[in-house]
Amino acid sequence: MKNWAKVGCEALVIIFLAVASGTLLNLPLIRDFYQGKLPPQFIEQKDYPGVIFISLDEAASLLAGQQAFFIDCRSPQAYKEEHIPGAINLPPLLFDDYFREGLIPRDQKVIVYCEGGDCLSSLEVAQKLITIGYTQVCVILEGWAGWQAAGLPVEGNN
Amino acid sequence: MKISLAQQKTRIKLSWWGELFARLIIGVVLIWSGILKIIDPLNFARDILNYRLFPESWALWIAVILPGLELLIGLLLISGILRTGASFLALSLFSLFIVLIMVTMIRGVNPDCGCFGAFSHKVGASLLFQDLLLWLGALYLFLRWQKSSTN
Repeated sequence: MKNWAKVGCEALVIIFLAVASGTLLNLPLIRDFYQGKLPPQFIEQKDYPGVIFISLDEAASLLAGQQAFFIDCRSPQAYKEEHIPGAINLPPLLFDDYFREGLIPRDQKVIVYCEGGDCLSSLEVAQKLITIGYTQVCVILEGWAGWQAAGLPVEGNN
Repeated sequence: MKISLAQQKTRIKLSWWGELFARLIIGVVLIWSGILKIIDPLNFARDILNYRLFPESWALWIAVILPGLELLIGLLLISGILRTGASFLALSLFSLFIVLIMVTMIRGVNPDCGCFGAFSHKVGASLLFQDLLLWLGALYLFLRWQKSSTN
């Protein structure tokens, strides 16, 4: 019993030191997180060269002005239920089968989105588009969840 | 069955080498993995999110605390300071990692493990095997040190 108490005490000391040092070392990061300054999903633009990250408001005004082409990277079922008006469905797994020249205009901004939260499929599709020569590829990191929560226009079966 | 003094000495020597080997391997792995994560906590937080098990706030706090904990445990195992507590925490950490890897494999999610920063590989059977070996090493150290602190 005494022995387990010793193990517990030592473990607690180590955990305390780790929590204290980790918190002190990362104070700016923690502060930025709680002030909402960190990008959604901790994704930084530098990790995805060529991809333009845009806000929900920017995407909504581009949609209103018909200045962008939207790509929905969610599953075909989710897309059928509801999606951003005018968006086509292109999940990353079906990209190579479905993509053909002329499907996505090259002279317009292309805005890609997925579920939001922890999905990365929009970035995957955006990178594929950049690889094949698209230059104005944007991603809404807040995704479909953010779009819906903001009460922006949708179309679909529902 | 009685064993001779020479046999006893050989056993002690072997277990001494076994302990040294285990604490060096586990210590170096933990120090290396801790340092690589401390360098880029945001990248590690992103790796945690990719497991699709934790919300953003959890991922951030894990990314803030876990690297320092790994580094500290590694240093303590090698130096021998607070060694029983350190080996218990190493055993607990590897147990958690094994459960996490198994759950991730069962769910069919295939993220980078995030174990060694930019040198991480995908979650899978080889990672599970690697963690099982480390878990066995930590268990050996914990039982040995706990026993010796009782005596």
